[in-house]
Amino acid sequence: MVDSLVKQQKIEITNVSHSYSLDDHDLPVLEEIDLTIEPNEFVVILGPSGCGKSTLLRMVAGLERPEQGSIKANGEEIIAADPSRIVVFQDPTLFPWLTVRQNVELGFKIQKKKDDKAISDMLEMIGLAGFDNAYPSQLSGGMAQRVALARALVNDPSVLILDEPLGKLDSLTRITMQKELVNLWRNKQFTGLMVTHDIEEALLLATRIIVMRQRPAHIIGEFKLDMDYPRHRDSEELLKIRREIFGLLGHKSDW
Amino acid sequence: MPSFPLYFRIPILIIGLLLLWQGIHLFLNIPPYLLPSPYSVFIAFKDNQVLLWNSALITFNETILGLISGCGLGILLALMMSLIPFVRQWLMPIILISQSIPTFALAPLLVLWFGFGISSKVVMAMIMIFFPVTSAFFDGLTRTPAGWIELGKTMNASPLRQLLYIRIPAALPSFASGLRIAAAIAPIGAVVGEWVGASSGLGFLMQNANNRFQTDLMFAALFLLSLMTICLWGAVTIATTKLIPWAEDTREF
Ligand SMILES: Nc1ncnc2c1ncn2[C@@H]1O[C@H](COP(=O)(O)OP(=O)(O)OP(=O)(O)O)[C@@H](O)[C@H]1O
Ligand SMILES: [Mg+2]
Repeated sequence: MVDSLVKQQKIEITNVSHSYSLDDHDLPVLEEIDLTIEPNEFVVILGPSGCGKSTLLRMVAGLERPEQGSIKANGEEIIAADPSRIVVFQDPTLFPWLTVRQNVELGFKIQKKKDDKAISDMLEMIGLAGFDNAYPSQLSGGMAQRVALARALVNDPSVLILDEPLGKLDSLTRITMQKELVNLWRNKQFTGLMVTHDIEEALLLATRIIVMRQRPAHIIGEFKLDMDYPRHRDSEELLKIRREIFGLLGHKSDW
Repeated sequence: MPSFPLYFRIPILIIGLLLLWQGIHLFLNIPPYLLPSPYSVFIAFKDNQVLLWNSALITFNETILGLISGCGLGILLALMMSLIPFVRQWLMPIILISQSIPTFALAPLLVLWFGFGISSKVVMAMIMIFFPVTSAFFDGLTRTPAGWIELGKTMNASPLRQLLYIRIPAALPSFASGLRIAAAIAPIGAVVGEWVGASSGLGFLMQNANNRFQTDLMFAALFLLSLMTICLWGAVTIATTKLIPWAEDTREF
């Protein structure tokens, strides 16, 4: 347990602004974002399409640097990608030339580690035992996404960054995966940072929901959710938050 | 329309074309030294079987050696260019310039440098082959999907490991298409070399036959050359689709 205490990361996003250049004009994408994520939180970001959510996640992952402001992990500026902060994108981006097992194992291989048991346990946990030797082209979309999750989790990240990881799944698989995510998060003790378009999903998973406005993204609302899991989607408390979020996102009428 | 498999269409095509050719020949009464009839080509083939097969074998050896060395050179250049910016900047123009030189102009020089034997033809084939391989493989190496590269970064992969575990496998489908082009043009490289200076091989045989107005023998040699090219291309295609099954191939042959 000492190990998992050491590896925990506190993410501090301070006054981050960023713009891209698009057709020789500036496109402001992020504007003065301030957000601190404590270890073991599960923060979910909601916001209109194209507002800059993925951009922010990429910065936390160290895949991009902000033009202004700073993003720190445990007080140290994030300047590069690191295995302690792993991203799962909407697209599973599995390697088609590797089997399921080899895909999950790739992080170990690159870092010259070997732990067959960890891989097997992980495959078991995501319900893909017996598919070790299948190739990505032989998987369903939901299975592929679970492999992507397994590949991230097996590296024991302290921050798991999820960019609409369930966006492409059908609603039933999605519900199953949401449950699995909650379980994984509670068992594995990582910090979750997730973007989704699905308000329900945010309500069921998050310990905190961040709402952003249309580009340039700026935080316009924050909700702390301290209900227990598994949550009931019809609970009065969740419905109330849901109404408020809808309002913030510009759907004043209540449906 | 029912669709026929390739191995069915090729024989039908060949037989059909031969019949058409023979028909036109009979009908227009073309002198044999201008265009021989398929029948006389067949006779020439039968009468010179040993010579033809021996020549084809020599050309085949040159082609295979050229293919191997050309691919080796192509792979090496592509890897170096994708790993070392300096090499990419200075080698790319040289490679492009080298491609603007007509190979026919180069052939006599190669014979001077490497002699009448097999090596000048192997070098000739190699020179023709390395370019499609380099170009296709390098393209593949530089166009790795960004998501895969980023994944490698989050796994702390060094540039070398990134290359080994991600960029090379991702580039294999492109490499395979370069290899298929190379297989199709490799025999031409060898024959061009033989044409200019050799004492054996299909190119040598064709040139001799041409000089002596033995057009039928020339065509028989051409037939063997095409056969060889088709077989080589087929073998490479089958091998690459077997070895690189993830290169989704939606074409229908
Ligand atoms: N590399 C880039 N160059 C130029 N503009 C970019 C680049 N990446 C993103 N953008 C722009 O930045 C804006 C925000 O993009 P981002 O991907 O962060 O949005 P998002 O909030 O994740 O949207 P969605 O919910 O649809 O995924 C978009 O308008 C996009 O056009
Ligand atoms: Mg996005």
